[in-house]
Amino acid sequence: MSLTRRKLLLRSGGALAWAAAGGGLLAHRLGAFDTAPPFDRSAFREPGPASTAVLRATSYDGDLAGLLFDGLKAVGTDVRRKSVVLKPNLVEFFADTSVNTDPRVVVAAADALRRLGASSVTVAEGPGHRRDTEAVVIATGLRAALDDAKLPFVDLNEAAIVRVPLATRYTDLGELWVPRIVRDADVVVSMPKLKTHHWVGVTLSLKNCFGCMPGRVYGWPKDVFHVRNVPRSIVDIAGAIRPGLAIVDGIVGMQGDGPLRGDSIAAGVLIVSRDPVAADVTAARVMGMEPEKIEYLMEAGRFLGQSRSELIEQLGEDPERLAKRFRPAPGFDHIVA
Amino acid sequence: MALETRLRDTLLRLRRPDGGFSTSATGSSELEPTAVATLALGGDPPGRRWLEGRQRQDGSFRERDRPPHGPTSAALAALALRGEPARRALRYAVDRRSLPLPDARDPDLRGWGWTADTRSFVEPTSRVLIAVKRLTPRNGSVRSDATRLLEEWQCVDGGWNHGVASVLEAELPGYAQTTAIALVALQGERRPFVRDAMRFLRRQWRREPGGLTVAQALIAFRLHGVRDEIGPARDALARLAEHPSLNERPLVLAWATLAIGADARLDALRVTA
Repeated sequence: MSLTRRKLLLRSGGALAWAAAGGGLLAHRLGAFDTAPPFDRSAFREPGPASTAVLRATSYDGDLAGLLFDGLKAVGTDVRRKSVVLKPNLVEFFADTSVNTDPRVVVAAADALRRLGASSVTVAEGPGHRRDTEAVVIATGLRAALDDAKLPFVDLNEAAIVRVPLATRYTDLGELWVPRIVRDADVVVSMPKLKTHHWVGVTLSLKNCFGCMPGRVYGWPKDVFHVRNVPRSIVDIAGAIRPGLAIVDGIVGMQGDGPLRGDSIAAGVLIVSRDPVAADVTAARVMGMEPEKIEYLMEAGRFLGQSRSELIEQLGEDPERLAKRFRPAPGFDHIVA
Repeated sequence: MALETRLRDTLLRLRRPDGGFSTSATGSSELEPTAVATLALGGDPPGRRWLEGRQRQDGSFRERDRPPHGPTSAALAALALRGEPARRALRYAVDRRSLPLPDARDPDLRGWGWTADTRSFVEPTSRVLIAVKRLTPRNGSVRSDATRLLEEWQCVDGGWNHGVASVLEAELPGYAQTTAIALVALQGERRPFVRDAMRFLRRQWRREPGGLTVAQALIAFRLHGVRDEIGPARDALARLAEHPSLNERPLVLAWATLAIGADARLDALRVTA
């Protein structure tokens, strides 16, 4: 299709057509939780206090493993004799962009977790856009890094799957098919890139759990969840995966039209927490956003982790001091602090 | 050992005890990998029996303790089956059109999706188009609708991605893998958009160096007679086969075996405009 024709389509109602499909673009992006979901949210235990370590890291070439080792210890990580699955964000590959978690952070995290006593560390991802995971893993440099570090990789779009009933009902799915390796892991570590997101404002450790959903069940680009509403799907999926650790790659992040087409921004941080909601709240603050205005994050704070900044102990650097003013995704000016 | 023999032997070693194939080394048999492996193995009788044994009267397939398979996996199965089971599988796939994409010019024009309740995308629609051209070539409406949709979904660079060529006014790029499978479906079409797509595939496949991409690109080059790309693509596939991970991925192995195999094996995907 020619550029001219596509632009014409957009002007002549393409965006309205988006709105007509799958519940509506604006409903996807804003107000997704205005209507209470059909289950008793008070049945979940209220999350307790959390701690988050904000680590200054201005380059991918330093001793990231040592830094992460200290950060993981600071937040009380105990992975002794535990199986660990590292879930980086490899949603897509575009050369010379900051779409994905950097392979050096993945390998450093594996090294740190091994030093902390993990019995096994496996890297796993199911790219949301690409059917050929191997192409993404090679093109991003992750395969070479993993081969050097003798770390196994599992394609979550192809892995064996099991049915997991949902305790939440933010979508009408009721259950999810989850890779067995993710369900059986003692600890799932969500390792997102620090990015803005044009559907939900920011994409961090909760949104990163989309990549655990097998494409051969949910399609590419994980369309079952787009049709059902992205923010609500995030909370259902993260509630099913329940990552036990979050390590956010914010050494270089993405601002503007994330998660794919934004610009790189050097934020110079790694963020570590045993509480994925607390990690995302802190990460949003580092991006210069107000986490209280990110709806899915506040909803997840009801049961999945701590979303109240005053109950999140900040270790390491002060997030306010390191905060950058990320340019928001289009339509998300209202979340800027 | 010749690459074809090595790929085929590895694929056979990954057969599950029930005769089918999984997408992974440890999973249970599923429809899509069994269908593709059956094609790759030249109509493999155990694979075909697995497919026939799980087919319901309506043409769909029963998979124990699995999520419902996407309707267009039945189109792949139709290519691997014969006679009435093949026709039933195809009817099932053809009858299950999906929602239109949000920016569709004609919202009444519906293609095929990964699941029955989501939107139409490039690869599922291409699967149906291949199977219809192969098995019911007189079905003009499906051929025409699927071809129109593929033309509409083409990215500005000439390729296809999953099916959303632009989001929020940003143009998205095509992928070699989806472009390859769409080109398989568009064999014999001589219109400019197909030539644009082949030009895209020729310059793009080396930049997406995964087994599935290279295998499907090689199939597209062979079926379209793009001779100068066939040797490099074979070599690239041979290099990818050196990595041990391929030995654990039956679906990719099946596509690679099909891509590297004899011309007669490719007949199952050979169609005309």
